[in-house]
Amino acid sequence: MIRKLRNPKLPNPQLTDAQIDAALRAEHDGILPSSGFADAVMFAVQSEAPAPIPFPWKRAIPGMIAAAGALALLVALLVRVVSADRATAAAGNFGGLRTELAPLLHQAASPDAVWVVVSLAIPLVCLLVMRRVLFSR
Amino acid sequence: MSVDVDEDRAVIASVLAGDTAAFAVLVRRWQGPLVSMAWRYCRDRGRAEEMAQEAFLKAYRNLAQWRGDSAFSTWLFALAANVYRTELRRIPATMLSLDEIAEPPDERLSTTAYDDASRDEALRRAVLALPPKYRDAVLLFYFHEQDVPEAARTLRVPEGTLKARLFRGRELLRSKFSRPKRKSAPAAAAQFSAQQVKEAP
Repeated sequence: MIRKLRNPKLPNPQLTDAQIDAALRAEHDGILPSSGFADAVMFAVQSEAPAPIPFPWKRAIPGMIAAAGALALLVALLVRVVSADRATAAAGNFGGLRTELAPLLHQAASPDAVWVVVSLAIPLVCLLVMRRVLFSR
Repeated sequence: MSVDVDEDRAVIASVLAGDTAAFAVLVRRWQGPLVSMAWRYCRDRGRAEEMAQEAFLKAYRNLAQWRGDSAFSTWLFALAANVYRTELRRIPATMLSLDEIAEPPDERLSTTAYDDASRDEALRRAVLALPPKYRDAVLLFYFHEQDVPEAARTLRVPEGTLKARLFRGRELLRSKFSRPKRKSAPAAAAQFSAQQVKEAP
């Protein structure tokens, strides 16, 4: 009897999955954020606002491909004109390139062409400034 | 955690279009789960909020990388878990302080309720002393209300891997909390934490 009191029979100390589940389940745990938490996060976000989002390459890629295509086309045209001019020169006719480029040069000198150049230059400048602002941080 | 996926998508589009303030909608919607998850990793309110803030900042910086092929919450939780793991690697969570260890209960006075509550709290703290891969599996499984697929997505591991880690984590906890001689649960957790620290490289 005395021996039994000194060594009371203990429940099985082996933890069951149910006991572990009960101890660790979500409803027993977790805290709510303090009232100013969201404001603190937004303050931190606004502080680094100038460099928020990485450049969206995926969205820009189609445009870049189109631009590269246009450039390649232009180069191909120039190569074609130059080679045609050389062929003409070899045949003894030196007016070939001048004849081909004359209408282009005439149009380039017109006031409308200036606006085309300006409208192309503005996005380019914007892009350069944006990249400088983004990557200077 | 019911999610209005379309609303998240619209808010993210606004933020990506330059409306920084729209990010507050996401912060308000997900602050509870993120802080709660961080708390599970460190069991310190101040640190949990700091870690959750870091997770939100990282989400903001990398928002364009969310491809939209999974729920925003899945992406956010995976990112947050990564941030928390890195933070804990940098500064490990405090395991147990002397103040937090309850006096060993007098067996003549002990009640089942006390023992259970005490053991449960010790068990929750002992999870933090598990090796990281088991710790993460156990924490995220219970954070996601015992949803294996969701926890696996957050950890970015196959479901089978998560189940194996859960099994091993539970076995480790069981082995540390099962004792032939009666010992208070907090003391067992303290011994477990000390052992883990000793074993750590």
